[in-house]
Formats: sequence, C-alpha cells, structure tokens
Amino acid sequence: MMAQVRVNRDINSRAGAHPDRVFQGHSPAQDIAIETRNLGRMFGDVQAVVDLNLSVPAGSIFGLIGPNGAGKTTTIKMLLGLIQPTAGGASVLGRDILTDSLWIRSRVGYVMETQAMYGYLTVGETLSFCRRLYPRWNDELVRGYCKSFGLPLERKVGKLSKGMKTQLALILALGPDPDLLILDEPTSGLDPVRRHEFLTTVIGEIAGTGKTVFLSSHQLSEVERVCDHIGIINRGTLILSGSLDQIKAQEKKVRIITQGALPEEIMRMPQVRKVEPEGAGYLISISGAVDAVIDRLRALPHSFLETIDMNLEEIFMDYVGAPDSCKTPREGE
Amino acid sequence: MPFFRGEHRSLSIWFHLEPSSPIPIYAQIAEQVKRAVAGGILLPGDQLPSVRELAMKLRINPNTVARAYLELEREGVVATQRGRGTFVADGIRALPEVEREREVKGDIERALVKARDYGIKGEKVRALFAGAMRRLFVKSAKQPSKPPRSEE
Repeated sequence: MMAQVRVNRDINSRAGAHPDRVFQGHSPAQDIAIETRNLGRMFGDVQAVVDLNLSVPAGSIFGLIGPNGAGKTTTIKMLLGLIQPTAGGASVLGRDILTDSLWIRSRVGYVMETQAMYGYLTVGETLSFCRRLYPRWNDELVRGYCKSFGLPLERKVGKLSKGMKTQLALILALGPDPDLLILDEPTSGLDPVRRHEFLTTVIGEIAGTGKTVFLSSHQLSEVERVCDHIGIINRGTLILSGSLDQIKAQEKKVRIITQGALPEEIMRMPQVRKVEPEGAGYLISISGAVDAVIDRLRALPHSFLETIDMNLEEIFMDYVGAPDSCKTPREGE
Repeated sequence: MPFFRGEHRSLSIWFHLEPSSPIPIYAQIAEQVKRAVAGGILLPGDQLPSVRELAMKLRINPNTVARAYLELEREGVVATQRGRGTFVADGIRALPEVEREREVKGDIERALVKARDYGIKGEKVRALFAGAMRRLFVKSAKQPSKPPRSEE
C-alpha cells in the first residue's frame, strides 16, 4: 500500500549522477561535425561543464538549449579552442580541438553572444581586416549581404545599432565560407523582424551545402522551428540530446485515474521518469519506449487515461525548470 | 506562406506550420501538399518551390523541406527532375482510395482508443457508432447515387 507517490527516477536532480540520454540515429564518424568525449571544464572549483558527450551530425542544425550559466558558452569556447578543457576532449570537423584549433577556426564561422569587434574601425575597414585572415573569403557574398542588409560601410562599428552589429557579425562569420557555423545566442536582443531576417539568411546560406549549424538559444519556439537536433544542458551536464522529432515521440506524459494506488511495478519501469499526484489521479512522465508503458497502464483498472504530447518548451521545463517540484515533500533520499 | 509561380501556372498555396505540434514539421508540409493536390489546388505538372526557397520562406531547416519532398516523392505525389525541380506527378489528381481509407481507419482507431481510455464499453461504442452512422449517412444511403432507371 502506498499513501504517497514516490519519485521513481528524477533525472535532473543531481548533475552527473545519471547517464546521458542520447537518442542516436546513424552516426559514422565522418558524418559527425562535432563530437565531444567526456568534455569538462572547471573554473576554480566550479564545474562549468561536466562529462559532456555531444554528437552533432554533419549537415544538421543543432540547437543547444539550457538555462543561463548551464555551460553553453563555455562548451562553444572549448570547441573553438578559445579556452582549454580541464577534462576529456572533442573533435570539430574531424580535427582535434587541442591540436588543430587554428585549422578549426579557419573552417568555422562564429557569432558570439556579445560581438567583440573594434569599435574604432568602420564597417568597411573591419571587412578588409577580416578578409586577409581567411584564404577562402568570399568577397562577392559579403558585398551582397552588406547591400541587402543596408550596412553603411563608412560608419564606425562602435556607432552601429545592436541589430546592425549582429548583421555584421553574421557577415563576418559567413565570409570565410565556413563548413560549420557556431552561433551563440545570435538573436538575443534582436527585434522580431531582424531575428526573422537573421535566420532566413542563415537558412539560405546553408541550404543544399551540407554545412552544419550549431546554435545556442533561449528562443525555444525558434529552436523548435529551425533545429532538427537538440541538446538540453543544465548545470554543465547534457540531459537529453538527439533528433527533435524522435525526442518529441519519446517524451510523453500520461494522466491516469486508477482504481486504487499505482502499482510499484509501473514505477520501476525504466521509461517512467517521474510520477506526480494530480487531483484524484497521477501524472506520469515517460521517456523512451512510450507505448510499452501506456499498454501496461491501459491494462490497469482505471476510469480515465490520456496521453499528453509535449512541445519543446514543455520538455525543456520538465527536465530543467524547477528541478525539485516533482519530489514528494519531506521524503528523504 | 504564399510562395510560388508554377512553370505553367501562376499560383500560390499557404503553409500553416505548427512547430510545437507532435507531428513532425516535414510531415505537416507533406500533408499540406497532399491536401492541396487532393483538393485540386495543385495540378499535375505544377512546380513546387525549391528546398532552399521554401525553407527560407517558412524559416525552417532545409533538411526538413528536403525530407518532406522525399516523402512526397516516395508516395508518388511529386516527381523530382534533376536540375529542374520538383513537380506534382502526372496522373495524380486526388488522394488514392487506399490512402483515403487508411486515413479514415486511423481516425476510427483513435476514437476507439479514446473510448477505451474513457472506460466506455464495447456495446456502448457500437451504439454510438451506429447512431453517428444514422445521423450522418442515413440521407445519402436512402438517396441512390444514380437516378433510378425506368426499367427497374
């Protein structure tokens, strides 16, 4: 007999205490644009990134999402060789980040969260400065974008608006004809029109080219629209990653009103992530082979049963938001 | 999104996407193209926009559009001509009979699953179904599809 609902398995309560959940498609090594192996970074005694195993398929648009301070920017900086990992390793476009970071940077376009550009240079001067750094620089493309965005070449970068600075940063990232585009919160602070334009530009540039985009964002609706693969990171740990369609198919909730308490065996099923009391019934979070659990639940005597689909925001909040809300109060573990 | 100018006809269809729906975006696109074909909005030979064009218009992943087109091609709704583009297949006018039946079967199954989940028993379900049949089909069943022939 159970008076209280026990949390079966709370995947996000302790960083590092659980295995990563990775839904994988086919993945021969050369089809992978970014692969991290137990990548970690300490700042003093703070673990910014812990045992990160990430796999970004070539040609995908991968969205890394997580709350502020989750380790997104730290991860990106390690991939680009801008900071060194304190554990593990990674390869980008098949090259090692520790030994080949110069080569990697020549093939990767990077738009930072806060654009670090020389404010005293004009737009035109900035472009000619960058052109000389990259052998594959596409001047025609860059000119075309400056024109279509209406960027004033003679204006000092320091005098550009936030939207124009982001556009310039994007042009600088696309100029070297990169195989991989890394965008760290690229559209934060942009108005909807500029955000729209930014994404349309990126999409137009990569379509049919096999280029990969790795972006971090807080705009979950945008990620849901644009990305085919996602990773959710929290407290430096990857919680969930894989194809977005697959994740949506494998993350469900079931609302059920049973006659009597929920049997212990249901809670022990590996797919059952958590069980919350809800009114006269239960709300059960399921991850993985959903149908097996639902079939078992259907077999129970019940007066109500409903399967609830989750959108990306709901999945995200379920894993990351208010991590302890699912716990039964005062139940020591 | 109004989008394209067919090679022979100038027309447009509007895509309504729900990225947060559990139905994958590629399936939403494929479904809407199929409905446009079934409804006669798109005719055989009409050209679909390029993957790049549609991805930019809808602000979605080009891979998603490509996957939708591949799905449509697999089902014989469209045909891709290398270097020219993707066209509504010849001879396609509406959803084939099997396809329509498959859809209806799916709808019926979903309703039955709901009935089971709500604890509605078999006889009651049958009664509900018969009632709905009576309400919706009784008139058309009584009216012969062809005018009665005089010799009968």
